[in-house]
Amino acid sequence: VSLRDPLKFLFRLLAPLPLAWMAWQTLRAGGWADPIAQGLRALGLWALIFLLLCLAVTPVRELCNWQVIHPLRRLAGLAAFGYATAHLAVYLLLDQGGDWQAIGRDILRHRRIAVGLFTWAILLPLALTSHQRVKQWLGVKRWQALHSLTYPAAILAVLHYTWLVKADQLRPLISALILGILLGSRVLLRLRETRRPDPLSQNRRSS
Amino acid sequence: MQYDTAAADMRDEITPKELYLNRRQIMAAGGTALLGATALGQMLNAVPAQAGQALNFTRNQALSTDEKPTDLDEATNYCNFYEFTTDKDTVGQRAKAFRIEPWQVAVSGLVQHPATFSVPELISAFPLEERIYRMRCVEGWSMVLPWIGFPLASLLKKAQPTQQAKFVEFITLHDPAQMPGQKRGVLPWPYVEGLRLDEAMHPLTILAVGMYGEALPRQNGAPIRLVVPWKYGFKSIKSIVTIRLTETMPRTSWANANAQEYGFYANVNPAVDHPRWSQARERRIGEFSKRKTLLFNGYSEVSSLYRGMDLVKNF
Repeated sequence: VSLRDPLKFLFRLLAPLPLAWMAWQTLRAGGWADPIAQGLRALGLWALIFLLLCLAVTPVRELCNWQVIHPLRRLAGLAAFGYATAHLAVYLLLDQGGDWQAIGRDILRHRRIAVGLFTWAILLPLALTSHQRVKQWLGVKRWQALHSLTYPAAILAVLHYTWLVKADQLRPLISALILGILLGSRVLLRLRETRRPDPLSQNRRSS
Repeated sequence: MQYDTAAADMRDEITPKELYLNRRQIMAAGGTALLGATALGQMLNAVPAQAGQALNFTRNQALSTDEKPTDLDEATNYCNFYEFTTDKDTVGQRAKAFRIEPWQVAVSGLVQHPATFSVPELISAFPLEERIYRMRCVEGWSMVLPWIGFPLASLLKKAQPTQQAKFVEFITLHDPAQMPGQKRGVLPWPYVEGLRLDEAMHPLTILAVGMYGEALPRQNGAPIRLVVPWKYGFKSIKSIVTIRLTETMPRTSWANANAQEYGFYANVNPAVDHPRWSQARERRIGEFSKRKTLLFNGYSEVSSLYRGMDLVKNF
């Protein structure tokens, strides 16, 4: 019996939990005092967490030889896009109250906002082409080239986070460190592959 | 205890507590009662804010806004006090065991009469007033807070600044054992703030020892803090141990940490953006839509202090 389906099921069950927690913080007594600002931050943070999880799937799969977790890459990527979209929507509609002039000024004057918007714009085509059938239609090579944009998106997301924080850079630094480890592990995997080409792993990559 | 605990009958004029009751608290109280889960509801509730010590004071109506004060539980569970944590909503938890007594405030530097006071000494030396002030945080949110305190000018007049004195420097307690945030170099410690002498002497500038009718909660700067309502909140330094008169401009913690983003004056000004966000609007805690930020946080009477000054350059 394959473990894949229960794993996917479990992920789908857990991924919306942060959102439920945010709703609870907004509604409960003694919860968030500034739900719009605090929710905006929490949504952004969870988008970044899921993006890093998405990038962690392949290195973990290769290192531990856990083929079973492969489908989680797409699900984590979609969760990242979902939280990023909610983050953007809260910024545009609730934080800025749909004041397009103010939003335009904010984008032009503050690089943090411009970079955040750009990051979401990178994630959009990745989410739209995430399905297996689109992958086949595009061809694996082109699909992989497109989806390697996940790396610049993650780098920009960390930058966006760093530029928000006033003084305490601990959490942005932790996310940068994790991203560094994930990028480094990718480079190591690539080196290992080119040194001893393994027909099995080649097949797997193009499956 | 350091405050007069002789109970509520000593209070002159106190805004009824029901006014501060959180709408969500009322909603949730109903909800949890329905579920029969009151204990759970209480467990999940934020830290009780009050030490419960009543203060004897009169409302200064002339210098108070008639805007509705922020809910008490939001005022006590959403604040910046980096000495404890950089998370606004857990300061209360982390400050629970903070010792605020005994506490000494030294008035030193360029004064005729340097002296050290305990907080009860200050409370009995100067009549306490309630001042309901707007508070605008540099991060873009604001509150309306009923402070209890006395004019800083009263204390300074007693100490008599010398001719050379041009500035007032304020220093927060430095005690990493009690204030775990100080173990991390997020800001240069101890926290230092400063005012020009004329700003310090302005009648709006107070030293607060209480809010919402009672002694200051620890997370809000107990036992004594500065309140300068026309400046961004970080100027209103908390848990003060030193007030020093100087000839040169004090090097404040935020300006030391990042001079590009935080100036000495830090007057609320919608026309001068923080380099990373707009200061044109603010969200009043408890309100949905943002409101326009006012120059000097609406305290236009201070504008004479800055006549002829370039407020963009001296941000």
